[in-house]
Amino acid sequence: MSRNKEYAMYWGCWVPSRQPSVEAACRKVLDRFGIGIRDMEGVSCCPDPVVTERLQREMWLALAARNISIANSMGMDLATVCNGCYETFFEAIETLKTDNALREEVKKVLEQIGKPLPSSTVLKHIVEILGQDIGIDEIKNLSTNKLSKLNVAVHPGCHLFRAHDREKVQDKPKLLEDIVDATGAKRIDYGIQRFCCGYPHRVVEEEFSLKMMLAQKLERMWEKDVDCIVVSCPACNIQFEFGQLELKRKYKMSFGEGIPVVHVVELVALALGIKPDEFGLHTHRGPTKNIITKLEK
Amino acid sequence: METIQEKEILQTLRTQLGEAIIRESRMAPDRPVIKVSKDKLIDTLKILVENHKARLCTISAVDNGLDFELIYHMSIKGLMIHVKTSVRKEESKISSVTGIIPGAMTVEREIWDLFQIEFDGISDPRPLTLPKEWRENKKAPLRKPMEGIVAEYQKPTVESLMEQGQVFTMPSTVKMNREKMQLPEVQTTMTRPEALKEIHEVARQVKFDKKVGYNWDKKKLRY
Repeated sequence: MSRNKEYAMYWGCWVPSRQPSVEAACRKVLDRFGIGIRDMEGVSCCPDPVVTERLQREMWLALAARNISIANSMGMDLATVCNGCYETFFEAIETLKTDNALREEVKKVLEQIGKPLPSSTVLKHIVEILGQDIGIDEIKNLSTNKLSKLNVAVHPGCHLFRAHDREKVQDKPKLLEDIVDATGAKRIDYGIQRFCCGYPHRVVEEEFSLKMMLAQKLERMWEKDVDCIVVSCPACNIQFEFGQLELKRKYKMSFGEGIPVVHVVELVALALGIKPDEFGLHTHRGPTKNIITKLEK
Repeated sequence: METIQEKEILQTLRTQLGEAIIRESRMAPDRPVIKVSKDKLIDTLKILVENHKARLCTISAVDNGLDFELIYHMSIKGLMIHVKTSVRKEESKISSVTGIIPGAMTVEREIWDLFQIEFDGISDPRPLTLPKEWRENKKAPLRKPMEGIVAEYQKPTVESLMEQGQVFTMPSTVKMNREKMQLPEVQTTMTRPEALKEIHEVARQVKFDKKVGYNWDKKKLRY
């Protein structure tokens, strides 16, 4: 099946070097639905919307503009699987549109490296590609391996709420929920979906991030007896997986064997009947094998 | 407003120093500031002293965390010209100007005491304001710790961004897993040296390297 649509895929830093299973699942899922992707040659970190942007906005914007410019040169819309990268590109595109002084400065910097200032750019989060380009019904129809035994807690992550209009801030998080529903998994309301996982705070104050933020979410999920957490951001994924290990090691807080965490594309891959070994589900640091055990029961 | 005298002096400096002038600014409307590299400091002061009979009022030292700024306040018949230069904290050493301005000695000795900046070639290097044994045994009282704008927890991110254009390295286990999954080679700045050069050029253009205090030779932050 071909949808005659091809994206310049920006994988970011986390996914290729820490969570290759997300990349593998994404490639297989999009291929299954006839969406083409092409890797972007020579891209750098987006750069991250926390450290680099706060240190020097010009550097952050120039690197983001360079990455977007590479997508432009491929003649394709820009896609990402990461909330943080989405935030950076969203903000960079807006800044280049609205801040004349910064745009001129970035233009001069890009000229020095032989790259043009990005022109009109369409940016898509993987949630939008799954939910809109492919469509909820299509995912539902092709979900051969119904995940109805699986109770999942959805964590959208803060940057997924980024939108041009105030009325649209819930659109992508809602799409994420719809995608999860379409896979057949049972979505559990644990009450604090919107609450941050604590990842950005971790680099500043680890104890606060782990005990006051991450543990709050995990406790609510644990009380609801969820089988796994579904995220749309690799940074949130890392926070949930490594954070549980750290909570156990440093603060003696544990949630059974640990609650496994998967990216939404991995959940869709499972729903489509793609074998976990084919996309390396076992390479997660959390006990993702428990998901398989539950599905095989 | 720029007087005829000031105009002439600045023009002499521009003609004789050319590109050695890093920056021109003003501390106040009638107080021009010339910034030069520390290698050109003596030449600059020599022009002012020998051609315009300038007199040194004093030297100010400022600890900016990573570098010291030394400001030589020169008076020429009522006109004040301020000559600035920077000294990297790792070096903490600059040529003494006592060869052309002997009266600078007391100020240089005081700065040596308080900031631990060594004045190379000074004829009398004895401590002036502190006890003799202080320099060997104790920290200079006005010298701050070596620090820049990047907080400790941000350092790995910044160093990694500068070294490979990405904020994480790829562990060998992940490389193996990628091969097993038959994932294609990563095509980022991590594996494309020519693309990484562009990132470095951007960092230089926007002066990110200077702002964060990056040492290009050591590929690390200076602190």
